Amino acid sequence: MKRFPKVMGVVLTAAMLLAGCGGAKKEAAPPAGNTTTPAPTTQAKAWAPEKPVTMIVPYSAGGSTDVLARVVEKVWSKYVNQPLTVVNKPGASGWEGRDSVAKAKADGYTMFMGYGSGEDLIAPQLRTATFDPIKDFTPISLLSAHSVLFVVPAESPYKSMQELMAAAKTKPINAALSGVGNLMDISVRALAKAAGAEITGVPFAGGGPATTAMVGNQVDIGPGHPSELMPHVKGGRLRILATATPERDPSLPDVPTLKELGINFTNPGSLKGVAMPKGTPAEIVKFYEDTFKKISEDPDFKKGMADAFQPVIYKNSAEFGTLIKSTFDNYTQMIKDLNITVK
Amino acid sequence: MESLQGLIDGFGIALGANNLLFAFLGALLGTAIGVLPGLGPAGTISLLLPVVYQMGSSTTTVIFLAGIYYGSMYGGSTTSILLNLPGEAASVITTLDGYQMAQKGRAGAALSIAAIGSFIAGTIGVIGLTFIAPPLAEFALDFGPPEYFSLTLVGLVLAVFLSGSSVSKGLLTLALGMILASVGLDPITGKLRFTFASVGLQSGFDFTTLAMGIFGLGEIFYNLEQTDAMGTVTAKIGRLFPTASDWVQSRWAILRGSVMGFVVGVLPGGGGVLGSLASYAVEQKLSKHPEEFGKGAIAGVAGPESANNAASTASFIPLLTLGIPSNSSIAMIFAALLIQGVTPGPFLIVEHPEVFWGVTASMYIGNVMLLILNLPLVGLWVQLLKVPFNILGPVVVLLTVIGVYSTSNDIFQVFVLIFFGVIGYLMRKFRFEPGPLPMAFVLAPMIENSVRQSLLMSRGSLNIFIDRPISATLLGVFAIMVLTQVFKAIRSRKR
Amino acid sequence: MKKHDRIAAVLLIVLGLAAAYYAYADLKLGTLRHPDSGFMPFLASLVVVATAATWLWSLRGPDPEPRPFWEKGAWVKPLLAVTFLIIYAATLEPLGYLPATFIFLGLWQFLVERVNWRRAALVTVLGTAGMYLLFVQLLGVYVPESIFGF
Repeated sequence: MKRFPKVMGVVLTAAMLLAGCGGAKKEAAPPAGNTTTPAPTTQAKAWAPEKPVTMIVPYSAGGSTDVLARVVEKVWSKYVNQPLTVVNKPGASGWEGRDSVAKAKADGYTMFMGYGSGEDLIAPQLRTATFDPIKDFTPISLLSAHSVLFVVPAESPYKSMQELMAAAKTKPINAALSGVGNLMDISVRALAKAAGAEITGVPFAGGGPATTAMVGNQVDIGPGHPSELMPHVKGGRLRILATATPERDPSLPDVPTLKELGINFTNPGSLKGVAMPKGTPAEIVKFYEDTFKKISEDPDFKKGMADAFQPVIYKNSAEFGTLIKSTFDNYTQMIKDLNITVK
Repeated sequence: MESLQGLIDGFGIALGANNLLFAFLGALLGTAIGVLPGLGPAGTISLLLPVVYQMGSSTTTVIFLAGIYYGSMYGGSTTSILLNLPGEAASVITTLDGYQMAQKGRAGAALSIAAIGSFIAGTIGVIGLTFIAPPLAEFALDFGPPEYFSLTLVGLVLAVFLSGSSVSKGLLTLALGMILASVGLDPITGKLRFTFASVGLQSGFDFTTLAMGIFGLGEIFYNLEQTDAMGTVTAKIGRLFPTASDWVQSRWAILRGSVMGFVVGVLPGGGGVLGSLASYAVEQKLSKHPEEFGKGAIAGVAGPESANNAASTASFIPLLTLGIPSNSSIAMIFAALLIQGVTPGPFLIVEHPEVFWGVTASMYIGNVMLLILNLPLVGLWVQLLKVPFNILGPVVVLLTVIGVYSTSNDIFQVFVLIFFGVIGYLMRKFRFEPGPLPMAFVLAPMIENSVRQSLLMSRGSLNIFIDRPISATLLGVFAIMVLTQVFKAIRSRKR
Repeated sequence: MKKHDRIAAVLLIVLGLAAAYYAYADLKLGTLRHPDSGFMPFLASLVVVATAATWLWSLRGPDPEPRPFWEKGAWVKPLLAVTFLIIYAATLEPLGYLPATFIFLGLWQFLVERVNWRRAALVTVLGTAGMYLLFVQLLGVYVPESIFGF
């Protein structure tokens, strides 16, 4: 957690002013949103932060959760008077960042992005964790959900999920995973069970390297989030076979769901919500709940999210809390059904 | 000649007042954070992201952030040469001969050759980016887990070359580095290894902490024992610029280093270190005086430093042509582009030619700026050596402590730093060359992940390593290197 | 020197064997099909044992130049330096950056380097101020604050 270097800030601001006066080159620039005056002052007595707020991203920079946090950061200053500091804490596959929030003070200055991602609900059910995924956090709001798509490399002989599942009975099939004991791992196990064959999950160090392995035709199939895969689908290097969402994705109307293909596995995706430590006072929860509602309706935020291939799905604290609980129970059931154990 | 036309258009964009200014600011900031140990480009870019969103132009954003990234590579060699303090893996190799040169009063020559080599390598890298980026990126995609395994195996053998005379001691250091690298959460099974119920050890050791402890602190503890004289001048200063003979010894090293660094640097996932390692080993083999390596050979600074810089330029190729970020700094730039509505990938060059060519052209300019910025600084840096050891020593200690504390915000890591300082001291006492240890530390996770991934892919069959042509070739190189070593050992025994 | 080298080599062999056992028994080696967490640490530990044994073998025979590990009194300064550094790390958070750094530099100047007191005092004050200004004020690096609030 570094404070923003004062001198660097001063130099940059000066440079930008200078550049602005000097008649900058005109390019396809997005509409500048920084002219809006911050924070309406309707409720003068309500809680509001008085120092910079830290948002911990328990994954590495450039991943889909990080990008989401960065889009929030981009519009944050329109609604909150204090700056937002995004801190990446990718250690111990997302546990370290979550652990630090679970143990932080419930004073409204520490939050994390990515509550409900999957492994935070799954992994503590498989081995002892240093935090309780439900009891140690206060859900603030849901901002997005990243669904699971199954893709094959463009060179792959398999044109449909059925072809691939039939092939799995006679040939070894490998799937690239972003890690062990996460949503991707469970999705592939469910697929293998439905196919009645073995599909070997090959874990990589995160979504980025796993996507690279799919793009490079190193594996037969891979599950991934749209934000990671769509640039390559657009680029013609990956082909989508199916989505794990219960209904077809409106942005991908031609992609069948697993359910339609007769595979009994549906998942709303990796939930991307914001949470704070347990025991956060109600007025603080209210403040952030409202802030994130405004952010989710901001046109710049919506555009940034669309550019990053992420849907905007807002839920308030209570709704999000219910969703987290039901998702948690759903995973408990799946772990039992798929007989997953980690030594 | 499409590339040439693109480049000309790119210069039109990069030479705009705004872009020129931000290329310069990026280079300046990059040099500054490169020099200060503990502050890296990834952390700095992350801090600056909220500011750059307001810039409005994605081209300017990338020009600025890229400037910070490759600028930090220029600055990175400074503390390695002057204070034996490497800030990142590739600079460890620079300490071997760079610090020795400084001890002999040739710090100026070492710093200058590092800057000149970085300039030439950076420029060769951008030329490669201009003309052969797409086919090279295709080649990088052919690297799957088996290829990474074989490549890293070659890297480990090269790391033994850093150990000087004793191969068995080098191997011992290498193996210790691999054990240290496995401390923490196993990324594949999620099991805790060697943590002994300590929460602080769960995320493993941090590379900078390890390198600053073993090199920086270890050297200071060792020096305390050596010098009895109070306030002696640490080293002579000598002339600032390389002599004609320095240049003759370095020029081919720079060119070879640039090419090797560039080719290996295209691979996503830490190609930079391997390029520098390969360059050091090759220069040692080709040198007429291989015994001078490790004692202050200028080619041992010029080659790896060039490889390092060429690799940093090459790491933009997977980003700009495939949309694949190859390290954490590049991943940050990837995020910045994505948020501004530019999707990095194969269509970037068609859909946003202004970004691709503007950034490429700005790198030519940025490299010239960095050379002009860094050469006069050499005179300033060498003055550091006039500072007596009783002041310089504790200040270096303070630098390492604040560097470690500020990156982790965890006092436990400072104790880890002290622990590695003691290890570094003991290694010097027992005449172990510490170089292979940080190399093994960096390469071990790569080799472990890739071997496990490969075996999962092949259902446990080792044939996967020899059935694939690139992997088989690399294994052949590995076998030749090992056999020549064994042959040499037998021959020297007979004598 | 050989005596100390032999002790170090034996210690490394013991350490390597312990690590190999831990990797084998606790982490598990797995199979070629599914290599487990202990796979690489086990191989690395075996290399430690083998190379340390080679080193020990190379040390056989009488010592040509028996020398003490530390020349007379040479161990004092490194030991003091490590001790002060540990004190520094332990006081950094409770006392805050500025006071802890001041104490550390003072101890180092007066007891490790033992320069004359005027010079030592000057270095202590200027060094502390310089570090604080450069990192905390200029670069905005986060450090623990002292009770005085800076």
